[in-house]
Amino acid sequence: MSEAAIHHDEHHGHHPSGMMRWLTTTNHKDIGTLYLLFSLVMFFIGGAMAMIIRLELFQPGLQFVDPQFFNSMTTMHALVMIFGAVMPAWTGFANWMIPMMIGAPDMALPRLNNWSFWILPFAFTLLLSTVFMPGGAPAGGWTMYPPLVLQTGMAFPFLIFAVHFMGASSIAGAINIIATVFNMRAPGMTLMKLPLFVWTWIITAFLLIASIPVLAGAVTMLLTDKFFGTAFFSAAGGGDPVMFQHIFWFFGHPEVYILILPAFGIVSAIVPTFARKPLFGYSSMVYASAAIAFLSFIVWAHHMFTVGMPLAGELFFMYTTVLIAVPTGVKVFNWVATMWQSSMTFETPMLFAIAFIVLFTIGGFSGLMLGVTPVDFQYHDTYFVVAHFHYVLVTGAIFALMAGAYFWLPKWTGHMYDEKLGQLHFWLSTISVNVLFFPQHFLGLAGMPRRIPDYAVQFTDFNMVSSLGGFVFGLSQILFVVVVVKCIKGGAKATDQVWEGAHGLEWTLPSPPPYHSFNTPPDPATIEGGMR
Amino acid sequence: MRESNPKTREPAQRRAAARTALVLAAVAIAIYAWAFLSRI
Repeated sequence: MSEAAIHHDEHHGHHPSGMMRWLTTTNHKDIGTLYLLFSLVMFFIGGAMAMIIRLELFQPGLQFVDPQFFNSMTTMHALVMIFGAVMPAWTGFANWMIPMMIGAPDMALPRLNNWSFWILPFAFTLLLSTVFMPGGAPAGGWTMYPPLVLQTGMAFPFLIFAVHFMGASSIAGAINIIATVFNMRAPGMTLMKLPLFVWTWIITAFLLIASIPVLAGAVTMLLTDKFFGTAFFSAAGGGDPVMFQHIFWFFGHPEVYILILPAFGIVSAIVPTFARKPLFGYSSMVYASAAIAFLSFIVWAHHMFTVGMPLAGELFFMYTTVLIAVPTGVKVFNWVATMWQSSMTFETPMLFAIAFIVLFTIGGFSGLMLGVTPVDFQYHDTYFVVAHFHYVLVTGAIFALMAGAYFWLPKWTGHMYDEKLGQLHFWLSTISVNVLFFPQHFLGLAGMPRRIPDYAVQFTDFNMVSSLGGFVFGLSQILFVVVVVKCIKGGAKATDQVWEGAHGLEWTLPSPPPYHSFNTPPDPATIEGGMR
Repeated sequence: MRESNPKTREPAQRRAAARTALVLAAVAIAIYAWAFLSRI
């Protein structure tokens, strides 16, 4: 298309307006916005389920919900937060930022991009509709272990098809991201000049393509076991229920890194910006991400130490698990070294990024404890595990998402967000999230099991503290919505660079960027490498 | 096409993107088939 035609497109727009714009859009920014809004809605739906869980656990005994509904809430909270909130949020960030970061006009496969997104509302309508069905929503845990999950009533096929749809959406998104980065980079944007957010997303995309089909295979087998007389996981028919756990966690552990690797990329963009220094150890960050991705495929049975396996298996999975601390440590040390003797300022994105580094590391350390086979026999299925993965996923993934949202909101909207409200959101969230999850370590060490609506009275005090933290954390997220809405509506005009220390192609575009990003490829001389 | 993305991409670039996507989709389908069929 000629320059003139492009300008015609920009100013007069052949794209439809209103609902049809959003339904038929093939524009990476529109689709990114859709993903982010969808994930925000899911974050609040999953959050409401968490509030019900914490309300019931405020005191021992059964107060508000019956045990079946409580189990539905733990199951659905996990499914909604993992597949509905965190994964789509990363894909939203990728859609918005990757074409701008690599100097491309759009994603490589724009129609596939539209399809990837619009599968998701259907998937979650299927899943959430089960709450209103006879027999209730799935309650066997997000891990869907047979034979328990096969007792699910009407909701069962809805669960299986919802998981298939979510998987199809993720795989299509991953294919698009790899096709974009491999084929659409601006001249001069070599692989080792890519921003780390792009690098971590490529690695995440490969993890998705390799692991999601395994989950799809596992749940298809559950479906045929339930309805078509197969016995993949039924010992009575010659099958093996433990086999499901192996297959599930062969997906499940890479999934953990799917949720956290893009967070590493965002923190690697934010820390150098507000430290006003290039990232320390760019290439080691790339290799560490790749090493983490490789290791994620050979650690799965650490979720199953107590199920039983040969001693050599227990040792192998313990050693490989503990080995992940090495590349993860490389990253943490590199972020700290970037901040060392720098000219730091502490705007909201930087505050969330620093909190991420400290609190995610706590989650990493408790993960190391759980990876040690003999002690895992004590911690397995206790609240210690709940505390561990919430430090990884809430103060890890969610905090990085918040950091990224504050970092890029001025670029997306063209307005600066309300810094005072942003800081208030940060401090309320950071204090309350620790009140919420830190006592759960003590509960777990004292022996409180996870996924139960009632508990022995000696666990009352820490549960009350945890619930109070949970309510404050939940309410404080409403502040985030206020900040976003205010920022979209108006505010101080953002400059193109937005942040004094920001480097990269996305900051050379106006704020907000034009509907189509780089109609002509950027000047190769403007491409810096190894900054972040 | 109502909404056009700017065609600064060369046709060769578009073909390469489609090839990459097809190979990746084939890999995903193969892994699914392996996970499912290897248990039969």
